[in-house]
Amino acid sequence: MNKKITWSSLALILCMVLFAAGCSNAANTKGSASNTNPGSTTPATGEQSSEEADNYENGLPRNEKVTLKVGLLESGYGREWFDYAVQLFTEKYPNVTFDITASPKIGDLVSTKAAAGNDEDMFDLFYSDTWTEYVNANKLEPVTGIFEMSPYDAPGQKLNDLIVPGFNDPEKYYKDNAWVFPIANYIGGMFFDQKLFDENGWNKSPKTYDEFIQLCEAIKSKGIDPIVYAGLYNYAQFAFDTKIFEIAEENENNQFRNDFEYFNGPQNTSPENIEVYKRLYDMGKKGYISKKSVGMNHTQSQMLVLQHKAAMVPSGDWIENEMKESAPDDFQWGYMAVPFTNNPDGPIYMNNGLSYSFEIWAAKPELNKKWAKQFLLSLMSNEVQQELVEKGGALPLRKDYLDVPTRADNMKPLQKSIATYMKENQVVLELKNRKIELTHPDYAASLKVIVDNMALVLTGQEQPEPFLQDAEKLLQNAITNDKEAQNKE
Amino acid sequence: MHFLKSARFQKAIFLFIVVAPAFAAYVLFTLYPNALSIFYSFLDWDGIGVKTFIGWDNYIRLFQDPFISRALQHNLILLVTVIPITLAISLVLADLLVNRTFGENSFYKVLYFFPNVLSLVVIALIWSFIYDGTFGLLNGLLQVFGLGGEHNWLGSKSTALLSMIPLYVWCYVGFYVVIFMNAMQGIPKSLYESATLDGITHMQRFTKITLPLLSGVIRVGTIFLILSVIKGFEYMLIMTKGGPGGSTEVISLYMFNLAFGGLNLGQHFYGYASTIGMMIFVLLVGLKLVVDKFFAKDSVEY
Repeated sequence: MNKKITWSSLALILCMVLFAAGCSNAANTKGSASNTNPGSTTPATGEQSSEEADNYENGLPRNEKVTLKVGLLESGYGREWFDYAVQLFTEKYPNVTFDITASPKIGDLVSTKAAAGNDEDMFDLFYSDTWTEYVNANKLEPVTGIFEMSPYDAPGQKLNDLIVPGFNDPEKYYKDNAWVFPIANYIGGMFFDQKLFDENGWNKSPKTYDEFIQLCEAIKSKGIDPIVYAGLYNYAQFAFDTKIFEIAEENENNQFRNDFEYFNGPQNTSPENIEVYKRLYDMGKKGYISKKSVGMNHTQSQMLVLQHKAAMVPSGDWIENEMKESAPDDFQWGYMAVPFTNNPDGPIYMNNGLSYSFEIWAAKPELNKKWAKQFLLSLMSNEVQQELVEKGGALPLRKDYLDVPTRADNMKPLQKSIATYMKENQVVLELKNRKIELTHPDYAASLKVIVDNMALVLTGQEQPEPFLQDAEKLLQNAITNDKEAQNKE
Repeated sequence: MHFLKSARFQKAIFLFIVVAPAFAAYVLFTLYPNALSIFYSFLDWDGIGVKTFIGWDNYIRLFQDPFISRALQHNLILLVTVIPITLAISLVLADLLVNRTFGENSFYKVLYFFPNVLSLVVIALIWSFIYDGTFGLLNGLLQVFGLGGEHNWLGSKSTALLSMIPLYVWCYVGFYVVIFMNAMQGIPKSLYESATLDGITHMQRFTKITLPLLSGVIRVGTIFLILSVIKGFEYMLIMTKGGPGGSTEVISLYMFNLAFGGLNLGQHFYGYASTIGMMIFVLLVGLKLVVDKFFAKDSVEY
């Protein structure tokens, strides 16, 4: 018996050792394979043809198969447009295939993969909103060069010249390069049912702050909440976070933008910011912003507007597509920005920004990165833009998009409403960009103070000044520390 | 090769084969990450870029960070409410199911245990619906009885954290009912019979016999509940995101948000989050020692 146990034990140990050696060997083999032929790039044919004969018009080889791993954000724009773009691209370049992982939380997956540090496992192309961290860590590939290329439907014209002015810069420029390739820029503001407004004779385009307050009062008198919003995600920012610029302009504070961009002087406790928060608090106190907003997500708040339990909801232009399954047939989305001055001729600052984009991971095979850039360029063709506009509800990024009248006719009611609003009002598209970056933890803490308390202020449950002062203290500490750190460098 | 035949060697080999895989998994998936966390806690690191050693700075920040003390207060409120309520309800239900022969006993057992087989997200959605300010079940019930029914339970700073207590109790009770029932069934009937002959009441029977004999199990249950309440944050993450006004932010949720950027802040703080993880570790060890001190550790033999 003892002998049996001895030999069986030895045999088992031997098996484990051999298995471990086998694993180790397999790992080495895999490693060496990826070194000689990195990533997913493999020859399609046994023999190498001459590059000149086998290259596409873009200079990339036909005979090398490439699989692009894509981390796709599932957003309000849906993914029909993306699948269409992939289909078009793979028809034109059959050696390129796509491995798509789609999720509404794709940014979390990207950051987890990034933290794991396995470049092979990382996506070639992905969406992430914390891209500055990746740039600081030298993990992103610049996409500046794509803007110098020509889309296939506009030969001889640089992409940079084809994009609607303002939609290409300066948001994604950082450290002398563009790192984020824009797919859609959103317009933020108040969204409502045009039919409900028409039936009640409500003002669909208030020109002054007083007119907007009168509108809220008129809605409230009908027993409907004038405004509801997603307090869980601070969606009020889409309607109100550019209002400081309007107040500054009314106050003729010409220094305001410079102070904002370079964190000069008080930020949270600037007269303009305090004025905006005071007005929001008053609106909450008067019941114009529903208290139910506090614990709501975006879907819940938007459902209340669909059900006419609330009249307006702050969000972005994706809302029509996002709610298309739930909206009644006769529901017609409309748009307005909230004026914050009483000058009917004064500009109204509209919230807008990058709502969908792609980044390219730097530590990928060169060929993958080149194909990734070609694919991104293809997304800027009017063919794909049309799919994104008509199926996704996005606004077109190409300025020649509306040159074809049928495309303009096919735009969704909300897109038309936004276009009409922008045409009939003097508006400024405001990106709220800062020129310097703060990295001290107190900066994040100051933002957290704002995010934590915003909903309570907007629903009239808490006065704004105390928390604005707390946030300001943290912010000033962050500014001081970051400036000291920069001086030391 | 004589040593190969020795019983001592064979026993060592056998133990090695049995223990090694589990130990290796423990080292790989528990000890190693925890050891790394200690290292990370001394770093300024966003999880991606350069790791900068900053000594004790993160630990100093722990004592200056107002969000830490606020989150710990919320944990404390949950500790002093959820644990006693859960233990009390579980013990009473277990006593009823063991000592009263209801025909539906087995059905009740399944019913109480049911929350344990539901996923976290489903539980969070159920309770979000119960507390919903517009269509919520609780408000509907209050309206039926003419008691208002307009309150936004999770949207009000004064009720959001308190609203989480019934949820936690509901989730935990079923598990501890099963644990306590099994422990109660192990108490010899003769003890109860002789006490009954001496004229003991049902309440005395419960407090003088059942509870003392269950003290060991209750101690373990208390430790498990402390662990769950301190480490748990999933329901807050799904239902309130720690709001409103940070009123439901517990320490683990704060740590999670710092590490994984859940605050919409555009930054990650892996180093500082690891420091908070170390603090939670020390806190849990301390609470375990406190529980050990207050509960008799004498084992009971029947």
